[in-house]
Amino acid sequence: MVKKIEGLENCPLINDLELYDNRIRVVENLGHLVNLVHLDLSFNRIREISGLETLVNLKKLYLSANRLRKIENLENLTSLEILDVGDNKIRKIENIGMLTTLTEFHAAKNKLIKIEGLENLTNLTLIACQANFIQALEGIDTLIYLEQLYLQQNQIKKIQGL
Amino acid sequence: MERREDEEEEKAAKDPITYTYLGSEECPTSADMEEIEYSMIYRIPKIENLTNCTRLTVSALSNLLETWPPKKFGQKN
Repeated sequence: MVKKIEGLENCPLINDLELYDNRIRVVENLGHLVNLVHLDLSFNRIREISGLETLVNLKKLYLSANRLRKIENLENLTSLEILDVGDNKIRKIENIGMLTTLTEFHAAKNKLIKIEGLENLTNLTLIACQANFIQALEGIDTLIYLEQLYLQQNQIKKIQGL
Repeated sequence: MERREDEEEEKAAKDPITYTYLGSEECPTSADMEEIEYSMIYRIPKIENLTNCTRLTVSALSNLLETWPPKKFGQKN
């Protein structure tokens, strides 16, 4: 199983990189892969989102089933359309307000208590936040293109704010 | 038949891990390749021997655990 991202120094044309279900702990040595459109690092052991700052053409980023505690360092990924951070230890939706091209946000099975920080992401068509600790239906009334909203297994007691 | 399969699986689980290496006969790499796809087939310890693969656009090296024992090169299912 791959434990370290390496050996891709001479492959700058890679646009699709799948490394899910390995034992990667650190996102590194990807900065030169500026043609990357699809990056899948799910099912690894990553604790921090970093090392992706230069990947401005990235459209699909999968980081599910890792050990993330925070959404961060994605500010430059202004082409991102799909972000998957499901099955981590994230407590807050933050630092993605500038990713206005985002159409899908997946954050199921985390420790979220609130839907927030998505107000500006008006291109969102899908939000998946199942299995969290969300208590109210809020923060989505500006999302006029939203088609799919998954909030099963939360702590919502009343349907309102739609 | 099932019992024999169970025994083989048990034995395999106790054996030391066998790796297949990128760039080896089983997982060849070449300077001309545009895609590398060994997901769910081999157990690869590291990404290597791609130095000359400057045309590579797709690299899939995920879930490298599926087949046990590793298939020999050219072996059919």
